[in-house]
Amino acid sequence: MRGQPHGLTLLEALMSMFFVMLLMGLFAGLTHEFQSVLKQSESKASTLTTLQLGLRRLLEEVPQALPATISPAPGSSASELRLARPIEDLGAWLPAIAPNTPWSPPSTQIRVRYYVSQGTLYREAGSPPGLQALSQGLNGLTVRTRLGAPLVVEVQLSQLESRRTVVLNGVAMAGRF
Amino acid sequence: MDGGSQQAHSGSALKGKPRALTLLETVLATFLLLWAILIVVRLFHSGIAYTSRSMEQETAVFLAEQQLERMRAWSESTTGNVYNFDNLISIYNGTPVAAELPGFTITTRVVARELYSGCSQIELSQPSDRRVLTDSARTVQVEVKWAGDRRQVSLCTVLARPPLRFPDPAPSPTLPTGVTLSSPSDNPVPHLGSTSLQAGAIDRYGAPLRDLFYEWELVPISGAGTLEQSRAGDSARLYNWVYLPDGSKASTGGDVTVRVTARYHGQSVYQESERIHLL
Repeated sequence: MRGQPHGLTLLEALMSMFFVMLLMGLFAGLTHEFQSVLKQSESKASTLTTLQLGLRRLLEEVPQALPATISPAPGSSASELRLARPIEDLGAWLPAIAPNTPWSPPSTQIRVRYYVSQGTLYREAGSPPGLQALSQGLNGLTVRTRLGAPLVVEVQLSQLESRRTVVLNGVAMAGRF
Repeated sequence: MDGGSQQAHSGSALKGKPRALTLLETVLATFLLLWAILIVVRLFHSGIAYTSRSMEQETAVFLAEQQLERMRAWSESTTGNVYNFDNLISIYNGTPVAAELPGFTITTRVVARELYSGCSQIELSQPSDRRVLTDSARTVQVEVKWAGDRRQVSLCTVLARPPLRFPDPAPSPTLPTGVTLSSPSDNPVPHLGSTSLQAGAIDRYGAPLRDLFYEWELVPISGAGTLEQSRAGDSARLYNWVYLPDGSKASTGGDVTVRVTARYHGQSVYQESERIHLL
């Protein structure tokens, strides 16, 4: 054996090939499963991220809005949200001295509009309007304002994920001034 | 010498004609390869699982935040003449409800929260007579569970009672200001005796307005007395005497009234008692 080493016999070669094929088969199965899980996970994550990003951006703007400018009007719903707000966030607006008169929001305001067009959530602001794409792959936006005080805006975003529609709701209260 | 030549011969034979793998070596090598591949695959799987878990956690936080926001909005509104804030504890009683995203459940608990006025450090030093706000805040806990309740995220906050309103000025003789004042327990007040009075407040719907602190003052008409109020100011006792410079007590007789003032959300309201006769 030592003096004259030999290669694999036919039987050994066949068995080796069988094992190798078996392993390749197992590996292929695992790879396929892995890819499928990865795809599903990515799709789910992407859907949720898209919805959450869009919804968060939209809801964060509602408390900055002047309540009287929010459209749809209280008690109604629409497929877009319109509002007017000060250019600067109210949180950043700090008077240098105590005001003598009751506080009123800064007069320099911009008009903002949120809507979904061809699956993309857009934020249109200013004049001339600047357009900003916030989230893609959406298939619906519904905005509803509740009657009564405080003014509450309910937003619903939906997205089609493989075979089901994922819906995410959010609420935000308008400021009181 | 012979051994050395044999070794050299054998070495040259191996070099010249390399040996192939045996079946055992092949199988072992294959299994080692498989083991290495499986480890890599498992690492990838773990990576995906952690990414997915992180995403689910983020979603759970979002759902919890939104639930808190809904509760905040609801607690600040009214149903008819009833403040929804008053029903927070009974509505959000810890019953799990399905979230809008499948696989997530939301459980909300609300408990009453006591606050000390005006400062916890001061009030904690007076265990027997604290100024406590019992009806102005609620502790809210939102718990979002998923993965068969194996994972959870919990958010906690304090919701404050929305500002209530006193009745509009003089809507009726019975609701003149919002502050209510009981009739004195004894009127007229006996010589060197005392009488007690209770104060309260109501909002524009006639509902009791709790957690107010009152300041009392004596308004002399034709007499004088001594007024002592409780620390929270919801009650006071009028004594039918005044202290003389030597420390002794003396009754003046005559009439007085008592005025009680409350301040709430920047608005001061007061009520004056009926005329109290001192014997």
